[in-house]
Amino acid sequence: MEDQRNSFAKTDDSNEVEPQSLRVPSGYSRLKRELQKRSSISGIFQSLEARSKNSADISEFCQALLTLKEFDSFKTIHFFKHEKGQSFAVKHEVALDSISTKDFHVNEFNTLYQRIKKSKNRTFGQESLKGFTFDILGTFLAREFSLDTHNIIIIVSRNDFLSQTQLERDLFNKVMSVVSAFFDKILRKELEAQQLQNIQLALEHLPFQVETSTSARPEFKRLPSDNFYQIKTEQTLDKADIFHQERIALLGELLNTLKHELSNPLFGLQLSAELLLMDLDDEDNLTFMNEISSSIKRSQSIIANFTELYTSNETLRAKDLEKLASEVFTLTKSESRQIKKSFHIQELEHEDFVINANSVWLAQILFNLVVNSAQALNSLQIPSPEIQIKAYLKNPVEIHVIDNGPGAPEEVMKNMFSPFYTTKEKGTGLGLAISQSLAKKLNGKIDYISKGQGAHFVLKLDYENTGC
Amino acid sequence: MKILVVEDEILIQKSLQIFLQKRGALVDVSSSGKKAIEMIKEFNYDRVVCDLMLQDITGFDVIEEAKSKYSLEQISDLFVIITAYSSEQVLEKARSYNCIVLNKPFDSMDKALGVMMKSRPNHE
Repeated sequence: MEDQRNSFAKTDDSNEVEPQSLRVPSGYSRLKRELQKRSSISGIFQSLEARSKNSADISEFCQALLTLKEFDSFKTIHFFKHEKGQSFAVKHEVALDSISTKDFHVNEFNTLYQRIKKSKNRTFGQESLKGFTFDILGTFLAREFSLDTHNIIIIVSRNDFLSQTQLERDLFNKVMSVVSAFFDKILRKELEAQQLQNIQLALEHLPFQVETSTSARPEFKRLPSDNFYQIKTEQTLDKADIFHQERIALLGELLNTLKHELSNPLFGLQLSAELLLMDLDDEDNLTFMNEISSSIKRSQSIIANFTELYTSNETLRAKDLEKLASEVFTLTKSESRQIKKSFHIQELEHEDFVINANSVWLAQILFNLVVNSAQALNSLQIPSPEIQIKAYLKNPVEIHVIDNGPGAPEEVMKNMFSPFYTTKEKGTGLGLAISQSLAKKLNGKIDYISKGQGAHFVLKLDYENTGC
Repeated sequence: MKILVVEDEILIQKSLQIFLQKRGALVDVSSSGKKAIEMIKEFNYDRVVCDLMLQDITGFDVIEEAKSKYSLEQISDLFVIITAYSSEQVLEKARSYNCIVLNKPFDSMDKALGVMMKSRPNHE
């Protein structure tokens, strides 16, 4: 009879997850099963999750922990956090009706942390805090965690001298086994909020205003408002200028590199083509080789001209201007392939007339105007498209860029020189704004002439200008 | 006349070799600066046509090594520098050896080959 009962008990118990429960008294076994029912891990997880969502910071979360049914018997939580790398720690003392926060010495934090880490049953009495600068009434349970960003200590106490029951210890350990992920999440959020606050503070105290465009830097999405630090138009132009100058400098560097990297292999091609030309006698091959040879020479002369353009001096004569215009046409070739382009000097005050102008800036202005026209003519598929550059070399100097498209509607005319204004799908809205600011630097200006058909821009430069 | 062409752009190297051979020179070639140094030490060339930007070392390194065999005056006669990098610093350094410097691409092929084939009449 005895034996049978035992064997029943055995089969029953063998369904348990933990086989050692075979050896514990049946009363405890029942209690334990009860405990598991009441606070299964997933149940704890859910209640922690709900509490973490409603907590603004870690101390509120600790307060919410006290409302867990698993923590029924606990009255206070001491929470210590040390952000790794910082020279101070922080202590939150939390009861159901109060929260107090204090800075805490980092050495003391470390001593406490080590002591708790070494303890086996995590149970402490008041005497174990001897030598510390804070006090906890009675016995308490403690646990330490090392998270990615922080080391933390949590101490729960009943505020009495009765030692904790095994049930309390089990419940505490159960909660502790899942709570660290929530501590981690909330502390990270705190840290992020702190960083954001620092960014905001820095932004507010910068000597200039900045745009926090969320499209360029997704982290700005966390800032309170998209146009919190919106910039003024005047300053936009300066920024555009800086970008422009950087681009010009980069372009110069790029051209230099290209020149060096291309001229050597091109020279090799030139030499071998010349050599082959001397030996070939087949008509067809000769024609081919002649074409190859002239293509090489054309490439070489493009490279040479560019280098000249970007190093040429600052006084331009009529023929320099003509050369510059032809370079601009070459530069815009990909946009203006089908378009008839012409350059004419309409008026020449006298033979030795010179313009004092930075040729790079001048080229950039003309480039922008020609590209604008070319893109408009192409997108609207204007029949027999045409772009003319006309120069009046008198005082003031006038350089006109005219196309035979539909021109700009009034609405566009009003805004065309404003930075970031564009009618193109992929436009930056900087072309004309940059051109205008360059013209200003040359002591000149660009006007739009709305008379007649087509877009018509005129760049006027003072004869005496010393814009560079 | 025996000429060494040190140039790592193969098309330039081979073409120069053939052009110079057509004018009656004996021409050795090298793409490597280090190998060129060995050749200069081993053989007696009447002229070394040397590029500056080689893969392993610079043309200037080649000239420096040649100093162990030749006097400064001989070096200024021996070397003709050819370069696509005609920055002021490079030109200045080249001038310090008192060598002839030819920019690539050559303005005139005929003149360039002429310079390579002739021993220098006098120093400026």
